[in-house]
Amino acid sequence: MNTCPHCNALNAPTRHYCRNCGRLIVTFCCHCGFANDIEAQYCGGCGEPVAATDLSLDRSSKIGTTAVTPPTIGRLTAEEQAELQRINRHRRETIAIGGSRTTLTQEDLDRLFGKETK
Amino acid sequence: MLPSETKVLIVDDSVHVRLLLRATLDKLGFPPVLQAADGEEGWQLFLTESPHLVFLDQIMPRMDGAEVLARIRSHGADTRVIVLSSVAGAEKIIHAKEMGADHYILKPFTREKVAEVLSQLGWEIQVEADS
Repeated sequence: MNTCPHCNALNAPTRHYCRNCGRLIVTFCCHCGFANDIEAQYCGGCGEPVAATDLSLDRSSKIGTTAVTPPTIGRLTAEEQAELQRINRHRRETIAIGGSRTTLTQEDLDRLFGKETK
Repeated sequence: MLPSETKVLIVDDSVHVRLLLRATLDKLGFPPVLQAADGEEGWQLFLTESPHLVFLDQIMPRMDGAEVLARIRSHGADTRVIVLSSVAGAEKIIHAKEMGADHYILKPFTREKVAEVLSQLGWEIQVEADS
């Protein structure tokens, strides 16, 4: 079972979206398309560092104007990979700082920015 | 750095926030501050005045805080930028950090929090007691 990092609901390993909150709970590898758990550093399908597709954060984006498509299997451009890495870094930092919350408190901010205070 | 030697720019479309922050900085020993009521005006003031410290709102007319921050960092200036906003969304905040914000204070803010953050960023802050 996989635990949703957003709401902590337990999900079957076959699920890509949480059964409880509808958010994405896997990270697709941009090299091979393998669905990794969301905190994976290295891909379970090809062993490459996970630089993955974010696709959508929740179900609402599935019905928006931008259609969600399955991850592209194969090499992405350097620009696409950089953008995906940025999105994944955001996701990891968000989870690390704010847990499953989507908004942060001033204490979260002090931790986030305080680390790098010169 | 001494507050008295610091040129400060406040960029916020709320006159109440500007007034409150101005009074806060005055209490902390800063000289009169520069003020802008939107991002475009703030960016122009930044270019002409080269402030040491910018307090930057996120949501503003004409140019938002993220765009102003990006321009300041692209400009290469060593200006300290503190985002002061009611936007608490994790993605926006982390984006601001990645864009080079030095700190982020949520509204409503207190004088103590402003003083604490400025101290962390290297200003020699001495908080005066309210008279």
